[in-house]
Amino acid sequence: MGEGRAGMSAGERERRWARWGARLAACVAVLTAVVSGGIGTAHAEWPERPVTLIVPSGAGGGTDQTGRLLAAALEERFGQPFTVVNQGQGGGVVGIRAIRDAPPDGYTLGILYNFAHYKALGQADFEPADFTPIAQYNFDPAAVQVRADAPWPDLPAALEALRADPETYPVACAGGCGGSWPMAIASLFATEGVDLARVRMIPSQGAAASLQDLVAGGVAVVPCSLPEARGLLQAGMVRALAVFGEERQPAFPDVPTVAETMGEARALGAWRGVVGPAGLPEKVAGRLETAMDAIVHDPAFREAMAAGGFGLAWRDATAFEAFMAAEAEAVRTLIPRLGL
Amino acid sequence: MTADALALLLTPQVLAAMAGAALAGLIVGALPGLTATLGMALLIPVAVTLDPVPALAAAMTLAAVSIAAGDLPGALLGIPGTPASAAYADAAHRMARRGHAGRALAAGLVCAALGGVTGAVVLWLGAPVLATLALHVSTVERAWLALLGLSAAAAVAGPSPVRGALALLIGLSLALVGLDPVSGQPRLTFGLAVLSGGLGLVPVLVGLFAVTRVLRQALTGGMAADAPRPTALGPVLSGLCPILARRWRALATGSAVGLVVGAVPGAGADVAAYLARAAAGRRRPARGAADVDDADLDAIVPAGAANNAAIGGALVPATVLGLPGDSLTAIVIGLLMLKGVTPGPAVFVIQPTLMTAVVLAYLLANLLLVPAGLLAMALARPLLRVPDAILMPLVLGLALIGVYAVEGTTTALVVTVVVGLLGVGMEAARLPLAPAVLGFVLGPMVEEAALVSLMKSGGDPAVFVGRPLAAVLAGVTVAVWVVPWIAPRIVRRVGRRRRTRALKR
Amino acid sequence: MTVPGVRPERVAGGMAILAGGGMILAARTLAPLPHLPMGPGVAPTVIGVGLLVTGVLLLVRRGATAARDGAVRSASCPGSLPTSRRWGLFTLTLGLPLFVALTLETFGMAIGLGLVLAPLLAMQTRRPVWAVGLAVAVSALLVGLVHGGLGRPLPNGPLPRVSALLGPTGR
Repeated sequence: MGEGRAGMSAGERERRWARWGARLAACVAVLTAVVSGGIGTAHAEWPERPVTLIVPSGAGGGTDQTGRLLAAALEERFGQPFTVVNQGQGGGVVGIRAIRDAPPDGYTLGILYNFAHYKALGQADFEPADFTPIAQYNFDPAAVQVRADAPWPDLPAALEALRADPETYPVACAGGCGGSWPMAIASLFATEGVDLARVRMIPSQGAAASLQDLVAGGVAVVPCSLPEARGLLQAGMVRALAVFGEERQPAFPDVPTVAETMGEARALGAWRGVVGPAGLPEKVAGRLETAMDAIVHDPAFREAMAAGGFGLAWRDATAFEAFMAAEAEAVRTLIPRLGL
Repeated sequence: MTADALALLLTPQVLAAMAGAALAGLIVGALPGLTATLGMALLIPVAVTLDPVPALAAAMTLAAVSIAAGDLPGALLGIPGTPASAAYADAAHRMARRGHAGRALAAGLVCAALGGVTGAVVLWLGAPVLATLALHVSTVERAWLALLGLSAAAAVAGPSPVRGALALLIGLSLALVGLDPVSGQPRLTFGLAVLSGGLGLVPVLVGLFAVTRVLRQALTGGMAADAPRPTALGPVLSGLCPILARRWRALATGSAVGLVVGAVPGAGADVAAYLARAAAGRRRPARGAADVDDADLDAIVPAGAANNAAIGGALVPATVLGLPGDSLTAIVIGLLMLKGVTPGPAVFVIQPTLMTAVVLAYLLANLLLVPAGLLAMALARPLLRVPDAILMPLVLGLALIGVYAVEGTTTALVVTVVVGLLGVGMEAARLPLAPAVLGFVLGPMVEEAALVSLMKSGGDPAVFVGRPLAAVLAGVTVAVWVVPWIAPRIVRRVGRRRRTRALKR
Repeated sequence: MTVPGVRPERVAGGMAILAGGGMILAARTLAPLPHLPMGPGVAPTVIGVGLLVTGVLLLVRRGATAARDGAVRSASCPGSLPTSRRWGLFTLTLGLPLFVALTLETFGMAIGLGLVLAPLLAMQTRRPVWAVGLAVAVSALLVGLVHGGLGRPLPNGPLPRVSALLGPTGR
C-alpha cells in the first residue's frame, strides 16, 4: 500500500494532511450539529431507547437468571429492550459500582442483592442511600446443609457440637464471608452462644464450590439456599438440617424451619431487588414500581421463578428502602464480632 | 431411547439452531476479545425463546465451535482468539510462518473434534462414575492441581527457563491486582476503586497478544527482522492422517487430561490445554526423518484435543451434581434450569430422552466442527492477503470493541492498552508471552486453595498431604520437578556401571 | 527499539528487581486472615521474591548463555532502530486507544473507533480519504455486529439515532 505515492514530496504530503484535517473538522462540526439537534428532541417519554439492566454477577448464576426473567418481562411491558449486562468482577463490586455511578436517567438500572458487607469489610463504600429503590422481587431463605454422614440428626445437635468445639467444624462462606448465607448462620451462632471469634469461616467462590467442598470433606457446614443444593440433596450426599424461612419450602417439605427446631422465628437469606442510581426521576421510578408490582404478581413470571427454584417476595419502594437500611445496620454490628 | 433422542435432535428447527450457533461460535471464537463464555452468555436471551432441545443443542454447538475457532487467529496472526488456545498459539503460528498454517489448523481442528467426541462419549456412558471424581477434590487437591498447572509453564516457556519464569511471574503479578480472593482486601489497586475488579482475563489476553502485535507492527512496519506473516495456508488435509496416527498417544493423553481437568471444579479448558501440552509434549523422542513441524505438532495435538475434551469433562459434574466446572458450564446449568431440567444424579433417569439428545447434540457439534472449521479457513484465506498496514489497525479496533463488549468498562480498555505496552517490553526482553497467561489464570487459584486449606486446618501445613488424593497429587507435582533433573543422572550412572562391567569382562 | 550497548534482558532484570521489591513492601501493609498468621500478603511476598531472584539471574547471566538464547529466538527480536515516523505511529497506536477509552462516554464507541482507525490507517497507507472511508465503514460494521448483532450495549455518545437505526438490541 502506498508505495506508488512514496515519491510524493514532504511538502506536498503536509498540505495533503492539512487539507484532510480540515475536511475531518468540517465533518465533525456537521455531525455535532446534527446530533445535538437530535438530543434536543430526545426527551419525549421514558423509555424511548433501550434500557441497560446491570447484573452484578457472572452469567448463569441466580442473580443472572432472575435478572434475565425480569428483563424479558419489563421489555414486554415498556416496548423497549432491557439489555442484561453481567458485571461480576470483584465479587459484584464492579457491577454495583456501575449501577451507583450511572446517570440517573432511567436508562441504567440494576439488580441489587445483599450488599451491606462490602462497606463493613472495607471492600467498597456502598450505602443504601446510593440507590433509588424500586422493588424487591425475590427472597431465598438460607438453609443449613451438612454431609449425609454427619453425626448430627438435627440443627440443635449441630449447634451443640459447634458450641463445644468451634474450631473442629469449618463453616463455609459461600460467595465470601459477609454475604447473605454466612450472615444468616452467623446471626444464629450469635444468639445460640457459638463463639463467633473462634468458629472457622471458610470463604469460597459460591454455593456450588462450597457444596462440592462439603462432599469432598473440606468443610462441615454449608449455609446456602435449598434449590442450590438440590442436586446433591437428591443424590443423598448432603442433608439439609433446617431452613431459615417463616414456613417450610413447598419444594422441600421435609426440611424443618429454624423456628420449628429452635423455637424462634427467623427469615434470613438472600434477597434481590431492582434499583436505579440515586436521584432517579420520580416519574420513572413510579412507572417501574407499578410495572414490577404487576410482574411479580403475574402467574407466568411466578411460574418461571419457581421453575428456576427462586423464592418470590414483594416489597414496594418504601418497604424495600426500610428493609435495606435495617439490613445494613444488622450486618454492620455482626461483622466485627466475626473477627473478619 | 437413543432413537427417540435422535428423532428429537434431527429436526429442521434443531439443526437450524445448531447451524446458527456454529456460525456465532466461529465469530466469537475467531475474533480476539470475544470469548466462548461471552458467546454463551449472549446465547441465553435467544435460548429462552427456543424449545429445550434446540436451545441446549445450540449451547453445546456454540461451546464446541468457539473453543476450536480460537485457533484460527492464533495460527494466522499469533493472536489467540480464546484463553484456551493461548497454550499452543505460539506453535501454530510458527508452523504458519513456515507456510504450514493449513496443516496446523487442520490438525488442531481434527484433534479438537476427536477430543470433543471422547468427551461426549464419556459423558454419555460414564458420567456418574467420572462425577465421583469431583467429590474427592477439596481445596487441598485444587491447590496441588493448580500448582501442577503452573509447573506446566515449563512446557511453554521456550528455550530459557529464567525468562519463562519471569514471564510466569509477570502473569502472577498481574493477577494480584484487585480484591484478594480470600479475604476481599484491595491489593495493588494503587487506591483506584475501578481496579478492585481485577484486570480481567480478556483485557490481559487481548492486550498481551493482540495489542502487543499491533504495537510491534507499528514499530517495525513488518519490514524488519521480524518474520513475515504467512500469506498462504499451504497443505490442509493432505498428510494429516500419518501425522495424527504417529501421535495417537499424545492425542489420547490430551483427551484424558482434558476430561479429568474439565471434571475438576474450578479448572477449565485453558488449564487443560496447558497441562495436556506439558503431559504429552516431553516424552516424544524424534523418530526417523524429522519433520520441521514435528515439535510444534507435538504441542498442538494434545492441547487441541484437551481443550475440547474439557468441555465434555466439565459437563459431567454440571449435569450430574449441578456443580459447574468453569464459567462455560455455569451458563449451561443456568440454561438447563431455565428449561426446567434440574441438574442432579437423577437427571439421566428423570429425563433420559432429553439428556441423551443433549449429549448427542454435543457429539454432533464436535463432528460439525471439522466442516465448520474448514469453511472458516476458506473464508479466512483472503484475509491473509490483506497487508499488515491495514490489518493491524483493524485488529486494534476489534480488540477494543471486543474487550468493551465483554467487560463493559472503560477501565478494561485502558488495561488492555497498558498490558499491550507491557507485552512489547516483554518481547523486547525476549520473554515468552504464553506463560504469563497461564500465571494469570492459575495464580489466584493456587492462592485461594492454599490459604483456604490452611484456614481450615488452623495453619497446620500437614493438611496439604493429609488426604490420600492430595498426597498422590503432591507426589506427582514433586516428581514433575525432580524426575527430569534426576533421571538423566541415574541413566548416566547405570550406563557407567554397565560400561565398567563390560570392561571387566 | 533496542538501544545499542544496553541488553534488554538486563533492563528487564532491573525492572523485575524493582517490581519485586515494591511488591514485598506492598505486601507488608495487608492484614492477615482470621485465625492465621498469614493472609493476602503471602502471594505478593512469594511473587516478589521470585521477581527478585529472576531479576538477579538475568542481570548476572554470562554473556555466552544470553548470546546462545538470542540465536535461538532472534525471530521475535525486531531489528534496526525505527525511524521517527515509526515512533510517531507507535505513539499514536498507544495514545489514540487511551484517549478514546477516557472519552468513551463523550464520543461513544462508533466515533471512538473511527478516531482510532482513521489516523492509524491514514498514516500507514498514506491515503487519507480512503483511510477515513475504511475507518467509517469498519467502525459501523463492528458497532453493528457487537451492538446490533450480539446485543451488547455500547456507549452511543452523540449518536443516539444511529443505534436506533441498528434495530432492537438484547435479542
